[in-house]
Amino acid sequence: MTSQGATMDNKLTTLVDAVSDFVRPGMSVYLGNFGAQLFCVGHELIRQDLSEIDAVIASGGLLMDQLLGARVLRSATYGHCWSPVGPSPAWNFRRAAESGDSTVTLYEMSLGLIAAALTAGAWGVPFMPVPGLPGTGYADENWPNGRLSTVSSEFGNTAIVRAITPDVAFVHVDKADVQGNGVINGPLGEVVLAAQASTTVVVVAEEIVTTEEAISEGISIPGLLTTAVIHHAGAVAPDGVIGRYDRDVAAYEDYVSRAATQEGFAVWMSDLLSSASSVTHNGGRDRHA
Amino acid sequence: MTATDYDELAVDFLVRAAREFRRGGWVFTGFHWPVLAGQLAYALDGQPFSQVFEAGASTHGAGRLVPTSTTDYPAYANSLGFVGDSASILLAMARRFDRVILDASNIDVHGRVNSSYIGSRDKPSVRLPGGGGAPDIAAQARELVWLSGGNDLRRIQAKVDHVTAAPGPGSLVRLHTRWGIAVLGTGAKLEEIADVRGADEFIRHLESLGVSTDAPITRTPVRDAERDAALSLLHAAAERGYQVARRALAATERN
Repeated sequence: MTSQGATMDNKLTTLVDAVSDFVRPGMSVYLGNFGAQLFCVGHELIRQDLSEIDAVIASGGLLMDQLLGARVLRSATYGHCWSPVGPSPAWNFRRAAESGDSTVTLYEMSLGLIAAALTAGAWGVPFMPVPGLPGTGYADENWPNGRLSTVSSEFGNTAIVRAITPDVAFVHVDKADVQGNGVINGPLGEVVLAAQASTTVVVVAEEIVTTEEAISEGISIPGLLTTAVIHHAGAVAPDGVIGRYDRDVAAYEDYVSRAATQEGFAVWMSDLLSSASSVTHNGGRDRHA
Repeated sequence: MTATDYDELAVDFLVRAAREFRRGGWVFTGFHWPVLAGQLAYALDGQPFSQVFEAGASTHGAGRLVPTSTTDYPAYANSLGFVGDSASILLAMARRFDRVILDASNIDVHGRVNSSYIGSRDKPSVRLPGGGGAPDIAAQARELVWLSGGNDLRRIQAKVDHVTAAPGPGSLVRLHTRWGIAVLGTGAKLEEIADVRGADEFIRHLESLGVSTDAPITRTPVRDAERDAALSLLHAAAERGYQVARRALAATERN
């Protein structure tokens, strides 16, 4: 243990405990990262039978699709939702839309709008000026569902996006020390902004390292922001992590194939739930209806 | 025409799309066909170029693997240069890129793309994935190049049902297809035509949309070495899950 580590909190916890301790129905939960989705956290949300979650999940993807199918979500703020491998449809997302099911409130925003909204949240201001995307459905058909507006000021007029302030952010890092100083090797997407905008930040690390190693590699998420640290190798599989494991094409294709029907997705869910979890939040209600 | 056991028009389309990267400079690369074109470009001759991705990165060489998407970081980590965030790329630097190359699922003569809804928004007949960062980058692109590699002319329309991404005022908008290239927006015109099956239908379709087809240039043929490189890439892409690659390689039609 380093001298810094000896004098600072050890924030290590487990995935099960982090989800149990920090996530409740009705909360807004950011799920990172863009291109390295925290499937392990999403699956734990499902296992713990959470519902009524307002997800902020910029890259949507199959993680959002799984949470939609498992009825975890009350709303989703997202940029797009598909399988990036193929590419192929995200079938639960698509089935819901094509059947006219509006149970889950969707805030469809461009990635730029989401980044700006998280910036506003991080800065503690109610909105952020943005390019208004004129002539698109975001501006003309209200795809952001009330999150996009305009203001006039003595400095000029501008489109604005409403701040996003998640209650909890789950952030994937390659390495972290026990104080929550996280190292991300690769593009950051919106993840740093999300951590800064959120009340509680849970860092999910592929590897726990000393503080010296975290500092030497460059800290992306400072421990200042971090509430808890989870050590979970393989956290984003079937997505990949630079230098550790590649995106699993076969696993992506297998999920898409299974989720292409409601029945196939139910089997996928059943398989997921067969893995153990000691905590539930909703009495084990039936999600398969 | 020569008989092939692959979709020659798709292969040649990919080569021509890759040449857009080889015009040099900083090129924003979108999902799908642009990823393949960007990867192939390293095997072609031309000007040096750097790619930029919406997740917040630039790359300066071919990926170790064919990236399954722009977010497949392990595939191109070997060539990373700038590493930042999405806001830097999509908002702060977007207008500085020499070219923005994006996939066009459904496109109209104004250069607008629909990747969100077919039919009504309340109950679409097809729910498409949505725009991601394309709306942001398209709106600020100085030169916007759309890639439409399929063979369905109905995807080129007078007016898309819904607009996911639209070019900003004053930007040059060009559309690559397997039959030729069109300039879209005000003064839409056919820029280049290929001497291939379907070209006549393509011209008639553009004319029906009000696109001028008076003076296209005839495109120079794809060289054997370029086609071989594209085929090699498509084989690798098929292994990496690309449906367009699998379709192109499985095609039994003769061109």
